[in-house]
Amino acid sequence: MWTCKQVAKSLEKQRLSKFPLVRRIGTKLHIKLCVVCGKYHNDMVMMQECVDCLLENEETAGTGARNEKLSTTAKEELKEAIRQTQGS
Amino acid sequence: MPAKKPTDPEDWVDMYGEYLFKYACLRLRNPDAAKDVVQETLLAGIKGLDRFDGRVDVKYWLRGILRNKVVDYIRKAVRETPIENIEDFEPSSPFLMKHSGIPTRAGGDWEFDPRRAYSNKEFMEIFHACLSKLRGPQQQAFALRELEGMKTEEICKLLEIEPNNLWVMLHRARAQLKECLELNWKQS
Repeated sequence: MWTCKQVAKSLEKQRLSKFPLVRRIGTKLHIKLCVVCGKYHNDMVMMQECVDCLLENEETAGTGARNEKLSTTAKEELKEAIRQTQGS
Repeated sequence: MPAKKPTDPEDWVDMYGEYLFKYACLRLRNPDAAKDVVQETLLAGIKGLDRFDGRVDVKYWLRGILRNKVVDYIRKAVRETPIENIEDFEPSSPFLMKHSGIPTRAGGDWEFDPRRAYSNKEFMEIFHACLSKLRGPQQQAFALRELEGMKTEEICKLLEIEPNNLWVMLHRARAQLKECLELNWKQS
């Protein structure tokens, strides 16, 4: 049975979704049974799952904050920098 | 698998610019800094094009360069503005930390079930907005750990902090995000 400290250190070092199967099951069981760890680590795991979803969307839908777009001016500046580098 | 051919650098801005910019914005939360690191990435890509071996698509090859540029940017930002009052990032319950590995007492239950909201596009936009509200060392720590998957030792070396400080920063960042999500998701 995993101790609180083992679970805490494991989750701080690596995401739950990346644990080997046996360790993942043991950790989830600990979080379910231990009141002290349960709430704290539940928050951590929820946030990690949220970020996982965000990173998946980064590849496909490309969602982001609405103002996070390269302006036409910024694109032209980047293209000019590339042209200058290639020209030199 | 045949090696992928590199695309013409002149087309990189149109083909990959938005993707790289969004990647940098998510991690740096600063559009001006994001544009700068994207520019450095594209120029580094041109200089290193003779070393491109075609094992991955140019997009992901450039993303790999960008990741290093983002980390370099954070390293430089920390050197220019070192963390003040590091004692603010000590565990508030040393006894709890010693015996359970938890820096502070946990907050209340979630006011909604985030697992039901993950697939909702509006929820993701709110999450992005909440991420934007993280500031300073907490934002850097969260980006390096949760978005880049860096290890504790690497992050502590980069931010020049101890592991306990990192865990407090991450805990506070998560608590702040949770509060922001609960407030804004309920309102929407």
